[in-house]
Amino acid sequence: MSKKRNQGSGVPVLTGQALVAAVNAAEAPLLGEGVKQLFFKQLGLDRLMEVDFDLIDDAPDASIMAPVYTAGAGSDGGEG
Amino acid sequence: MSTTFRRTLAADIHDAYADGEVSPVDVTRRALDWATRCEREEPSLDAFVILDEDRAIEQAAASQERWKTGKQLGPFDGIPVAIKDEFHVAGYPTAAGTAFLGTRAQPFDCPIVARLREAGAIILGKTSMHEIGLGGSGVNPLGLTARNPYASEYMTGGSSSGSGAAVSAGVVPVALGSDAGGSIRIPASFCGVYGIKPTYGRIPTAGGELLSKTLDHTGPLGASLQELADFIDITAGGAEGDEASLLAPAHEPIGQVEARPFDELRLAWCPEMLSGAQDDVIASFHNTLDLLREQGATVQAVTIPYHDLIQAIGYITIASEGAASQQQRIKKYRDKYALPTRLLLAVGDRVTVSEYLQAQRVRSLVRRGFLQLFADFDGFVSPTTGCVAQPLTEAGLSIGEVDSDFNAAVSQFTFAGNITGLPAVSIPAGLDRNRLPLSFQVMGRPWAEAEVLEIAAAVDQITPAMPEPIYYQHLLDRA
Repeated sequence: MSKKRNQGSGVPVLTGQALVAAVNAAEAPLLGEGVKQLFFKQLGLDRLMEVDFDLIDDAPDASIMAPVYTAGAGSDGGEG
Repeated sequence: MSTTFRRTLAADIHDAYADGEVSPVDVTRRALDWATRCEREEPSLDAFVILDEDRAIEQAAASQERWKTGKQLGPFDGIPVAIKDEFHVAGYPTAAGTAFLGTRAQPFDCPIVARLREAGAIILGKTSMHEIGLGGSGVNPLGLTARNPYASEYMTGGSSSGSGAAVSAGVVPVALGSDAGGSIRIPASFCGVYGIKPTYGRIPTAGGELLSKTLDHTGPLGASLQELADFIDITAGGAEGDEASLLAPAHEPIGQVEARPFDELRLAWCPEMLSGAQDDVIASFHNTLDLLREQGATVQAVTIPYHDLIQAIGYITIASEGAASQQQRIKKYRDKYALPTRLLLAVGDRVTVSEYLQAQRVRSLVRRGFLQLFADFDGFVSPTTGCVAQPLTEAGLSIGEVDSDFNAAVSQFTFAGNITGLPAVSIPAGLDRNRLPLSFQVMGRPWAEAEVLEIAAAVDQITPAMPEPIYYQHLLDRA
């Protein structure tokens, strides 16, 4: 069973057997990648991957970074 | 609609203690009695997974003794507080909304609970939540789904769902929540109460079952802005084993929250970010902006760099960090997770390292954009959520459901605070056409919780008054 509640993208609400099937596909070795692509397409993953850092001055590093600020950061754009 | 309703605040309770009108034991008994009656209502509020009358009364008796001898400890001494079942409380299990965790009692309090206890707060019990905190609805098909005190057939929002319901129903004036994508502010918004996600690192996150290392924040939901300030003053500061909190600058106590004069407010908002929000949400927000301008505030439209990618960054980060945090458990307990959780974890498990790092790079650009904005403005404002509370469904309650439109709307404005780590507070803003709570969000500079609360206090003067929820009882007779 699937149904639509919110107005918006037209993507149906997943529940019941459709949800079971989606979970099984997402956890399957081959089908899972397709589910991920579908899922993130709705959230703009593809657009996120199109950001070209070669075109950005002073581009940030590709690193894992929690958003920790040093004291006084903020008004001048400084960050820790 | 009644406009005379006013919640019982922690300060009201303290006044009553000071006057000798009631004692902490009286108020705690009343809170326990009301919580129990809410659970027996049809439908049950389902805000609490644990209520411990004996231990709560024991704590209240100790507080009563301090009040009798004039040795009360501060603004929360003798105040009943609820704890999201994601945090360790000595003597109770921590199930984090799952059907498989919480098989043994925890030996120690997490740092936040220890600090609340030291400040004399009465730990009334533990509240229900969205499974492992991975969701904004609060619907938990394998556990308790809290009901919205304003409309029992509607969700509370999540993931701190029981904390939102407990504060909204008046069982406690303040409750602990956590927030990796809006999980404090969403239930605050849907349940018509106040909630703040402080700066990343301001309050420790250690000692619980939190999900997403770089997005997780802890903070309160409260009956007013003052409870939020007092909570931060009591719980802020570094804790052993909690790196972000140890790197934070010393916390200057906020104390009494005063509204900033309107003519001293410089506020920014981003029109593009409103796209897709519900009509009543947008109308309420514009109405508040108009009132702010009429009062003399500077309110200016701005563009936030990469604003259209904020949710993608948030979802990729929370899904992949969530999957990493559950890596071993999903192998052991796969069939014991709810289906929506399994789906999100399976997707998160497939996010590649390069996708994750690309998200973090863009996250840095968004963060930089917000910091530059705060060179010219004191606050960034938006609705808290892009939609109001949605109806509970039989399918959602029994098997779970994944609603992409809801997921997009509910975190439309909240993820910005998580990916930047900047403080963000949600305040109630009246009701929509279906009598469901609306809300308004203020974000601010790093470590500027006091400033964010001052701005919110100014806005709070002009937003519509909230009526009494259907589930509500004052903890004092005189309120």
